[in-house]
Amino acid sequence: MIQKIKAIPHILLFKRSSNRAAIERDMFRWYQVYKPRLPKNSVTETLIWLLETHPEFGNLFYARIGRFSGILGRSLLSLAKILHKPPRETLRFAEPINIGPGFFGRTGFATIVAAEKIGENCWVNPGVAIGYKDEKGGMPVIGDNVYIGAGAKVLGPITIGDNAVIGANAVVTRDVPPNCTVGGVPARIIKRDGEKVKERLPAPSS
Amino acid sequence: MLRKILNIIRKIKAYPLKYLLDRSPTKAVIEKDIQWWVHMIDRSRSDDTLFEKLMFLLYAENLEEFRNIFYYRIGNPSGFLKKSLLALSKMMYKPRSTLSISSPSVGPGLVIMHGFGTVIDAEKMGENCLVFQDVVIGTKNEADDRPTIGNYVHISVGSKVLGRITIGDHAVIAANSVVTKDMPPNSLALGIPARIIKEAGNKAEYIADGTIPA
Repeated sequence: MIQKIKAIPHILLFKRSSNRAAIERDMFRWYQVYKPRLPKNSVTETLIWLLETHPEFGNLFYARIGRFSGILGRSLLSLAKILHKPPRETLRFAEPINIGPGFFGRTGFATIVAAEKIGENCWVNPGVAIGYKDEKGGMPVIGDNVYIGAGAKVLGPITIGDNAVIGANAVVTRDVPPNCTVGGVPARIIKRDGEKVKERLPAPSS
Repeated sequence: MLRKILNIIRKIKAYPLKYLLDRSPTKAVIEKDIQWWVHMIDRSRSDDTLFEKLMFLLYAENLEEFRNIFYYRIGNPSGFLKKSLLALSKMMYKPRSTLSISSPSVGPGLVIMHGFGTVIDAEKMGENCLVFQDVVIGTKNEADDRPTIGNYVHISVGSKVLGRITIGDHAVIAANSVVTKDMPPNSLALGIPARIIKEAGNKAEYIADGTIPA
């Protein structure tokens, strides 16, 4: 009961948000991964459950909601942030976020997601850093259905193709073609279209 | 004088935890935890009573990981008094926020050093394991099983132990390795993907599925 009252501002924000469809897809993905036992399988019920048990979803929620210009939206947002657990301090999204729907981030410990663009249904594990390599700037562009393993670092102005898998603790600073699995330091291609290979990543063409 | 008063206040503050500990069904396990933590951190205190050791672990600097383990062992007690005492002690002694333990079974004597960004989600974990910061033990994706870890396993900084594998007793996983294959007992693994470079004290060189690296 208290949980429901606490989540009222969030539900109102969610219903009024322009990103509503994306948040709904996110919630569906998280629901699929954790498979909770809920009394009712409604959208609001899932939202309440996620806010209570997974603070890292709160980060994604607030990042997707973004900023409001009107006084009503602003006060509702600050009320929501007071009422609910402060989200994870160790999970950062670069603003404004450009992340496709269905994003999943596990636990959100020491995770930085600063990408130029991220496609649909991406999966990010704890300890991942996506961002700048040096002061020259340039952030990665990441395709659809990309899986980034725990502790992997994806740095610099590079492109990660669709359906790519980046192994745990890998360091990726070059383009990754689609449908490939990469791993190691520096990252090498270890699987291409489901077949085991040993290839280097293509050198940057500059 | 002031120190004496401070000590009494500390004892009163720690009393809810003692109450929870004495009435917990997992008391024996927590006692073993406390003994092993004190053994690892400060051996000069090995003659203290259990309550003194508990006080030392609660007030020592940078040992919030012990609190995580304590609350994990206590679990969700039944009864209003126990629940409110647990909430009170969680307010007084805040656990490390970036450490999550969600294994169904963890043996006694798990020690976690600087648990920043550590995720422990094993199927089963043995006795007296040692885990450092940035370690992830868990599944690769949602349709995957969790690892089983033996006794006295040492998992060093930044290592990832993923998938349905078994780690033998007394195994050592070196820093920043990624282990996705079984490891025999008394072995040492290193690298991405992890190669086994020592087995039963002798030098070896193979990847855990038996292939020899080029």
